[in-house]
Amino acid sequence: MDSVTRALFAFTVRRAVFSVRGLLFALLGLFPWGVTLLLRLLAARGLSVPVGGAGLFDAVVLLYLFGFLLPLSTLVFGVGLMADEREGGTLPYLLGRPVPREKLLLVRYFAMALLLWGLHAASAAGVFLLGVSEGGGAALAREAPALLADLAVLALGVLAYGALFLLLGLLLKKPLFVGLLLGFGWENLVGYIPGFLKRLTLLFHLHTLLPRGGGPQGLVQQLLASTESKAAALFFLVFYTALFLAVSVLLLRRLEATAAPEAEA
Amino acid sequence: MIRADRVSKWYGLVVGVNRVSLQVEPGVTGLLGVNGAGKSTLLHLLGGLLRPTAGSVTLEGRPVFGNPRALRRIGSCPASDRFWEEMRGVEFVAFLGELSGLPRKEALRRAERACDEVALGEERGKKISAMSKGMRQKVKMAQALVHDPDVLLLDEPLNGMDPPSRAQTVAAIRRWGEAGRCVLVSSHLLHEVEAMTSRILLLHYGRVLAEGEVPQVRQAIASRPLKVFLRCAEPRELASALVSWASVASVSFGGDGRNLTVEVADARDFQERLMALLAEREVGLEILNPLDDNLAAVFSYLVA
Repeated sequence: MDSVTRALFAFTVRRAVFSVRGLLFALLGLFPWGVTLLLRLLAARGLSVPVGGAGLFDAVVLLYLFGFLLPLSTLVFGVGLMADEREGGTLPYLLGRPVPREKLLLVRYFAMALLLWGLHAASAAGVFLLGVSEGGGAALAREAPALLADLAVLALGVLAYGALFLLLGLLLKKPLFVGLLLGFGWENLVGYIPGFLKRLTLLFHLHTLLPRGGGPQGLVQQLLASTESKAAALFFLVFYTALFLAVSVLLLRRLEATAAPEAEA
Repeated sequence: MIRADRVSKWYGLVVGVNRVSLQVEPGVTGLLGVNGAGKSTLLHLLGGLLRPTAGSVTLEGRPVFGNPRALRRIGSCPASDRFWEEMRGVEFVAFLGELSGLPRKEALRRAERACDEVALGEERGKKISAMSKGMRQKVKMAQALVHDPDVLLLDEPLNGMDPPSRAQTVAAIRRWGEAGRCVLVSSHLLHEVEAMTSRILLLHYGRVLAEGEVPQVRQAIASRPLKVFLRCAEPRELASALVSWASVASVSFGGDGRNLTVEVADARDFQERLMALLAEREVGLEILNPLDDNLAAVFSYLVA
């Protein structure tokens, strides 16, 4: 790793962690731990709890992490990755340095992705340990492959959503609103419509890859029906991520650190 | 070195700069213009931060915009007062040094040196958010210097500085120019530019109105005769000689009758004739002072 990569990586991580939004998302990441712990305590006192063990873990991963934290965190950090510099007026410092622009973008993107994956992994692993351990060591060992698969799919999710929102941040002047519409509107609504349209969402492919997702089907069925193979899901996710990143790189190559006329007045 | 060739920049229908051609030479060049003249736009174009709408900006033949090889040799100090506020001054400078390809230790060492160059004392260890405007200006200048560039583009570097800091910075800028760096420094405060250099580039409505040494530029303004103040013991004898010269447009008396104000159409001819006259006759010349060959006069004649 050269000094430019190391410096950019550390800079991106530090800016994300030591910020109000970093603190907020750390709390959101730890929130399921608290819920799991509370349910365990209630169950230990003999109270009836609606869900626990592996069921609770599945619900947290599917509903909270994939349905809420993943789109929200990648939206906030992905959009802000370059847009914050533009709005904060610090873009000239980055673009005026002899760093290839694709490197500038990709190093920052992967730093953000690693950090967010760490947040999601910590959240999922904590719930797994607190919740599934209710069934003892045997339950932990039995469910461990599901945890690993979930962590891998979360990594794909962070990469895909991160790339999408990074692109929005470069493309639009007010990307947050459009990002919310995409992340919580389009992704959730279209994902439940039968037919081909759901392949245009990321969430559908991520759900397919989850250990509890649908099985493989034939090619025609995959194109028309509401489920797809894991290989197809993986292909779509990689394709979308690569596409979003490629367009982002093209946009950044043309990006100017504007000295608008009014700035001179 | 760095060169703009008929470069234009438009913001929609608004002209930033229009068909500007220039070459920044080693030494200090003052970039002058009223607010909105296009100074910042031109500096951003030269610093590779803006893409020209037309024309080109090159550093030794290579386009500057988005070109790491060219950007390695340029240091830009933007006018805007924007930072990553949570960073410490020297940390900010070192980080940007690292982005210029310096290894971490070397970047820290150079950052300390750059802070010394701009006379940023112990404050360099403070968070930028806690710094005064003048200190923040110095941090911006230090980051432009940290990678030891050949070309320095300084946009209003003295804004917000107290008088001692201004004097230190002016001296530093002169030093960088004398060391062979190409320094282009913008300001709308004429006396500041005058203290740094006599070479100017005057922008107005996005166009280059004048460039060169101030006396040369003044000489080129043919529509405005140069005003020269003279005080001597024999004003009448001197005046009668002066009015007969083609290079003299008018002579007027003032003060106690020993003061003359002469409007000169051709400064060189006037100077030669006056030297010859003084060698020939004793007129008791006490003071000879050009009144309007300074930057303020040039600026007001060209822009006002």
